[in-house]
Amino acid sequence: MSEYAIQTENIVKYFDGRCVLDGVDLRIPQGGIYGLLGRNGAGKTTIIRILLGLEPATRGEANVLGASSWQLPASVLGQIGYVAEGHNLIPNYSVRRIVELYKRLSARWNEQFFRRLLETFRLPMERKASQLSRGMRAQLNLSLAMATEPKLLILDDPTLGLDTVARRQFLELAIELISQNGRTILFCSHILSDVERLADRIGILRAGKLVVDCELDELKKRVRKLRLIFDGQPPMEFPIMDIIAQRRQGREMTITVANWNENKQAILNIFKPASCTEIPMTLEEIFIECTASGTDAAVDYEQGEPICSR
Amino acid sequence: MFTLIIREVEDNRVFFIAAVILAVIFSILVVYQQFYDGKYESVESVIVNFGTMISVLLVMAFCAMGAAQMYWDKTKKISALLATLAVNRGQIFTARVIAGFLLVIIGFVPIAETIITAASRLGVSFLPIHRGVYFAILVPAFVLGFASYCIGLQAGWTSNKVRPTLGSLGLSFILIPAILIKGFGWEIYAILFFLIAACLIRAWYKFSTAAL
Repeated sequence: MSEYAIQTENIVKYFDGRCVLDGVDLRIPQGGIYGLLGRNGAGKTTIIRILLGLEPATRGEANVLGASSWQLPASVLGQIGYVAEGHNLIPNYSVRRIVELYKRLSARWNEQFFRRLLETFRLPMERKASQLSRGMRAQLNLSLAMATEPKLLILDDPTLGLDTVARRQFLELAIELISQNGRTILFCSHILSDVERLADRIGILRAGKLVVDCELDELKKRVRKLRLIFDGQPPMEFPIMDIIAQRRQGREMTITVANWNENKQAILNIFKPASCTEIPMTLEEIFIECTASGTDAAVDYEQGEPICSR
Repeated sequence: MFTLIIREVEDNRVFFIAAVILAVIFSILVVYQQFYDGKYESVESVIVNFGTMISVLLVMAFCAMGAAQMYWDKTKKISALLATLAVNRGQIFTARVIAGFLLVIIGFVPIAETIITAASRLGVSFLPIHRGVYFAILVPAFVLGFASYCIGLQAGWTSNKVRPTLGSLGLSFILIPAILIKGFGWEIYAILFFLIAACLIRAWYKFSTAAL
């Protein structure tokens, strides 16, 4: 079997003539925890649906656990757990009936673990899925996906709709699951602190392109935010590649640069700033810098190199 | 596969119950009319009257179930959920068609049984002569039922309510005049089997290539 649980090559997807994914190459190693980030409409859910064979790609190749994603055999599907964005459940089924369906149609089922999750979330077994609150649907979906003991767990914004306590419970469960070796997790969320806590590798989709694909520590190392103060006016143009964002205010200039290296440091030194201070960045700040568009601070990256890639 | 078939039957139990109830009601009515209404008509009369009535019933019920299966699947995103478990689209579709086939059998068997019993009651001596008649009428009627179901199946994969309802019923009602024009024989088998194959291929193509 391939060393990658998920591998895509040049995935392109058009919806009604609109390009949603533009040549995405995604590789998630076995046992990795991958946080896929992006703004609304960036293509996160689309790529997940392509990986699960729910949506055909316009072009490109996607493989999941060694099988072509468009024709995933039942044996491979049985090794995948999926929590869909919006928590797709059959609306006229009772919780009990959905659970029974999962039990019978899943390749594996951990009843003990599922019972524990049910007790934790206190889900009403006789209520119809359509009568569940958004939070309850999220909890049920998570419990079902986790009870199937998947080799690959795909979570598309799993904590959407959960209150703070339930979100914390989910994170603890996810960490417990992650601690069991060999599990691969693909995790999409808008709550970046969750992603930062769980993921060891980060991908950021921007306008259908994967602009970041590297380890979280590597991303933090390679994306630098610098506050530069000059004696006079800051230069209008910096001949440095990979500037993600820049702001000027008087003698002060703030730049965010990707793929920081010695050459870029040397170029910066030519302009002799009076002071150069590095501002530490959280994942959320990096994400905002990488995905912000339509602002003065954002620099168009479409023609540039990926901000951070393997 | 068994779980998927059971799920289809449970989800469409209203059609199964309706088919059984209607079949029983029609059987009782026909038997009453033919035997206890003082008419004592011929076997052919029983079969022709009865056949016309059940043709309409078959077309509507079976066609409706095929369309309902696909329509509810699409609108409630049932396959989108099932296809993320350890089943693929082929298994989901096969289970659906098997459930439809079961419905046709369940709806059809009591009616066929009534015809045979009625014919036997009217005159055992006719039976050897008319055995071919039963076969010539009952089998195409059964195939007609399944063809109606398949038409509904291929028309149902849409989120528009009017199209599957009117489109599939309209297509199905063409079948009855076709039988009346062509009569019972190998030609009608050829037409019905061709129609079944075309509808199943079309329904499978739509289902297997669609975004769930």
